[in-house]
Amino acid sequence: MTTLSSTPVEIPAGHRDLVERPIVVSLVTLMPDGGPQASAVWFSFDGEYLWVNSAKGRQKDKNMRARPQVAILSIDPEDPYRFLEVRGVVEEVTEAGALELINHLSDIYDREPDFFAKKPELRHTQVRVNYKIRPVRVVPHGPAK
Amino acid sequence: MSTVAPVAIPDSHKELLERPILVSFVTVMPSGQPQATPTWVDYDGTYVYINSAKGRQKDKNVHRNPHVTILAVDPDDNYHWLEVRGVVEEITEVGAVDLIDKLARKYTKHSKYYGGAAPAERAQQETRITYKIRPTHITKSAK
Repeated sequence: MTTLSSTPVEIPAGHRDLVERPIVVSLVTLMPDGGPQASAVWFSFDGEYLWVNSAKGRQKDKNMRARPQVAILSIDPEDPYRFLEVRGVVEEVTEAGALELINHLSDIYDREPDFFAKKPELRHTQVRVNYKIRPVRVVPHGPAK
Repeated sequence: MSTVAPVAIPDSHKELLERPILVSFVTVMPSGQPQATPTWVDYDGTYVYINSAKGRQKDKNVHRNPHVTILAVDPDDNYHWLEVRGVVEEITEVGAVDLIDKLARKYTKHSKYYGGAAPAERAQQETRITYKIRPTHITKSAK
């Protein structure tokens, strides 16, 4: 991989709110047969990379470990003609910091700073995982804000 | 191909395709990268239909790779969702304008697409196309 190809593509300012607001987005991963798999997820944006969080052993977890090409679709809940598609590559899969991230996301999306409060049976069995996604192509649609 | 039976969508989640919910429609790029766009959707109780215009990226993609997926999330309750993975079994221009008109009635206050939900002049600039999708795998929320 060249240095150039590892630079995250920038999210245009006019559509940046679609990665900064707590919008439930569609995360697409690839199945072993190359077909797409989509699920609704919380996510976070650090100004360059998109971060999603899942649990070890789930289909999307297996998919992203084996095939790093993903897509995220964020649609403005107030205006469906305004959306942002981010095609990206999973650059890091890590358990470090994953509990912190899911608690942070739970706080933002669900006003529950302890993610496992609602599912105590999973607290000591489920392993959370972070996926750091580098945008490689960004497709904004509809009016810029 | 048409001898394969479509996988049934559970009654509990059918309404996610029947209500005017904008879905994520995913196709696969030549590079293998998934591509996702918000689309209107039609459902006849067995097959799922998506309507697009000829030559768009998703149109090119489904011609080459028929594997697609559709994600419908209840806008009023994000914990209620349905994913329909499927295969595009038919690609046709026949009835495609009728379908986009039907979808315009489902999703907007307009009675037709061109000259209603979309500018009339676009009718001359694009060719509508319908993808008939056979569900092959369903995932859904617990509730």
